[in-house]
Amino acid sequence: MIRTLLMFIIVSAAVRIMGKRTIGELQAGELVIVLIISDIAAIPMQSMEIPLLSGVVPVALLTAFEVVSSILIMKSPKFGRLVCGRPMLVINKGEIDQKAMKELRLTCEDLFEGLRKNGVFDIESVEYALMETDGTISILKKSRFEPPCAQEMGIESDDTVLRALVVSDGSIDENSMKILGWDNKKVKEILDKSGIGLKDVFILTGCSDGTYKIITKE
Amino acid sequence: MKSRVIIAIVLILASFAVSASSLIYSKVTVDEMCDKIEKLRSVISSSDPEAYDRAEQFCKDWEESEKVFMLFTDHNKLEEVGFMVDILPRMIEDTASSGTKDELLHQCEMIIAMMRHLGKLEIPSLENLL
Repeated sequence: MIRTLLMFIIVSAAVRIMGKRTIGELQAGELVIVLIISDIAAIPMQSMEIPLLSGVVPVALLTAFEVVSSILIMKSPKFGRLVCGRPMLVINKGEIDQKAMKELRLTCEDLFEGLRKNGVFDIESVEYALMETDGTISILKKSRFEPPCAQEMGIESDDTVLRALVVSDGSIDENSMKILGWDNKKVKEILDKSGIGLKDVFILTGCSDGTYKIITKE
Repeated sequence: MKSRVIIAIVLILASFAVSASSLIYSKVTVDEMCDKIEKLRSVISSSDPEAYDRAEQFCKDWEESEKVFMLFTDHNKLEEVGFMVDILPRMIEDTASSGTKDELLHQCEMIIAMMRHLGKLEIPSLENLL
């Protein structure tokens, strides 16, 4: 049990050090690292005869290698292309690139699945489709199939404001306040104005333009 | 990003330090233990009554080293050596009454061979890497 707890802490720390890139869509190299780490971490947990260190050292090294390789990918586009590959057009100017699909070993079903995930059910409406390095498909619709934006329709609209959850279930989120440029004094002012205490607030959302919305606890 | 780079460097250096120290420790300890058992072997050959005490001392020394070995060596392999070392004092007692030393000397050779093998496990040789 102690070993399992230790390995859990170590692997959690490793994933945290590797950063958010590893948690979301995985690149080829990242997937390899995650698979190896999960396998290595499981061995000392299951077998008492294997020293814990023989699991900890490889996990530490793989974490370090992942950080170093992600920095190299960032610094050198050539290295990035070598490790992650590059996005490839599978639909170019409305035409399916069958050669690219063959190269990617992408079946028609895979392509249609990718399009459906982007909310597209008619291939005729796609101008460009790109197979990204993480295996997802990004699309650009033909302009006549895109919904018009406010600017195109000549409608005046306010600039977009940033909204953030400042208070959740009676506790203040310092990070949200930082994002909005607010401080504790500002929150206190809002609460005083509304005549409620912090503990009574279920949700308080704030906007970068200074406006806010409060939902009290039932 | 800078802190992640520092952590990565620290992890690489720490892993290198752990690997190097385990390699050095196993080399030094195995040589030391083999040297002791060789001496014990010659004491047994000369039918010295000191053999039993030396074997007991050797057991204690091995137990101390085993605690460190356990951090980086397969516990099954250590248990095999540990078992061979543990029965050594009793074998000396038995030999004193029966008078045949061949089995005892063979046991010492077996321990030396197993310890040498234990030392080889940590060396980053081509055999171990492949």
